[in-house]
Amino acid sequence: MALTDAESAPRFARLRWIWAPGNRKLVFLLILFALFILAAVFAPLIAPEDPFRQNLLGRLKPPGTTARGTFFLLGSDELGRDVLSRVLYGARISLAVAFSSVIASALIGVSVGMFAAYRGGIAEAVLMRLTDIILSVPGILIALIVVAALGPGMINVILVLTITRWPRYARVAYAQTLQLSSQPFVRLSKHMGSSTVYILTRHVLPNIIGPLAVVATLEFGLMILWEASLSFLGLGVQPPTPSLGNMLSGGRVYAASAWWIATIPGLVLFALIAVVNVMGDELRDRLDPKGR
Amino acid sequence: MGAFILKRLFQAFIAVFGVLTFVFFLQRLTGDPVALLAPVNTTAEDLERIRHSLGLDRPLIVQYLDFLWGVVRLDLGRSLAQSIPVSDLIWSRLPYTLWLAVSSLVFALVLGVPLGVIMAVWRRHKLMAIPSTIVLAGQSLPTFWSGIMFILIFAVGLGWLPSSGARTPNSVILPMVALGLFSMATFARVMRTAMIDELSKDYIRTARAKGVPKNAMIARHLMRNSLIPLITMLALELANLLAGAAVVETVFAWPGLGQLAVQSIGARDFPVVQGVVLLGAVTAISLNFLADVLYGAVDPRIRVGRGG
Repeated sequence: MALTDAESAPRFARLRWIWAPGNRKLVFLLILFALFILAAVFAPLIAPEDPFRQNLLGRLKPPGTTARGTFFLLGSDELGRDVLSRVLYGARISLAVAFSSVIASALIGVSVGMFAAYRGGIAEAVLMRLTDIILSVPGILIALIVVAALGPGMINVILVLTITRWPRYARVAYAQTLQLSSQPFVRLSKHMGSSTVYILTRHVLPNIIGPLAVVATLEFGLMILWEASLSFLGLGVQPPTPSLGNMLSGGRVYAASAWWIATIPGLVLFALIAVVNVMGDELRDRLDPKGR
Repeated sequence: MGAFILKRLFQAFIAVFGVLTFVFFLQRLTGDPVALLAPVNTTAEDLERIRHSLGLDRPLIVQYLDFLWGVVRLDLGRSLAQSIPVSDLIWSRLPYTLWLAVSSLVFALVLGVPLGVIMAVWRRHKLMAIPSTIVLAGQSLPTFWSGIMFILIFAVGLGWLPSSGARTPNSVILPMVALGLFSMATFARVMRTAMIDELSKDYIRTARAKGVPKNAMIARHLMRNSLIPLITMLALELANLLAGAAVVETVFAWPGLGQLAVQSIGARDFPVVQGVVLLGAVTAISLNFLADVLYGAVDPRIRVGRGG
């Protein structure tokens, strides 16, 4: 009995594709992204200090100094809190907000887009018009008015991001579903009596998941940026809870005398967004060759 | 073309109406609009008096129509913090935001378009990592952070440019660059994609075959066709820049509309926030409309396909 290559090869060799020259860049990016996630998830274990604990005698200490028995690897802020610990907890907030808003807006947008394309008629006209309207108003304006009315806070930020971003997914899902719904396997399934929900989730969704994953990745980077911007303006996550955005607005005042307070969270934010963006571009090249 | 413009105009009108309705009901959704409008320590009788004087004890539909009528007459109410008409406040701030957004747009175009062309034409060159990195940075840098870094380097460190305010003509340079970097990256990417698309087309092969010099080909054939997606993007990008100015204006203490809106949220001055947001939304919708019309005008295929 002849064994195929895959069966005869040792177990680890089957994983060799991961490090194949064409995949190296994406795998490297995924590892970097995973490191960010791990650092954020395990922030309570990794963080050397309590991110809320003030140490007024150890204020504004530059990176690498020890003050009153505390070693500040990345310095301390204007209230003597450890910048490293706050950055870790801040990244946790950024990622939590980005994940929640991406998942919520993808769920709404994909359902709306698939339904509009598949059903057609008035539902299609009304829903797709609505996405056009929302997309034509810059999200920051919607954020300003919603926060002015409902007040700032993490939950409201997620709400705003979901309200403003679901149409992005709806557009993509709509265009893709439109192409698919005239395909023989979809029409056949309909004639066999499958329900709309069954057809959309079993036949359509698996075939449009690629372009949607690309959009979701690029949106993820954007959501991190938006959360930070809103928190920077004082409209998002409120102090003393650390977020990469509000650390920057706190550190801005001390920028000239204590550069590290604003510089370090910004660098982390920049690195995180850059990794996500490059990952999105890589995914696009693979999964959605036609896309932009 | 006429029917196409009319259809788009109608859609823009619906969008403006939708935004107005959203803003009106958002105010009511939060429970008591007086609580939003009144200062924090107001007594119950005072609240009742304010409610009556603002007409908030009337039926909702009457209030809604009244609100719409006010917007039509450009009456956006009075600022609670400064008790002057919101429209006066907006007029005094508008020139600064326009100046900042337009200079950022020019900056983004002047840098982004050549960058995109270079990235497309010499895309297999070894040094292409440099423009790609610039574009990635432009796309990923949070504007408020790059703003702070610019202040640290060019204002505090080198002392070349003012760090904030709008007192001298060169005050605009740092906010302009901070705001324009993202659009620059967008333009470069769009230009690169459009040029690469065009490069693979038959007419380019023909031009090559008949021996048109490379530079002439880029200038005469490629640039013209690749500019189509860019022209239509201009209006949309200007809308994004106007909205994005809120963050940059806060960093640089630039006395524009964005700073006004953010300060008004802090001061719980809802009518001002509402005025700025409505103006921004109407501007964005108009620019979208303009982009659609431009697109139809530049490329007749669009109006046949979509406008019908």
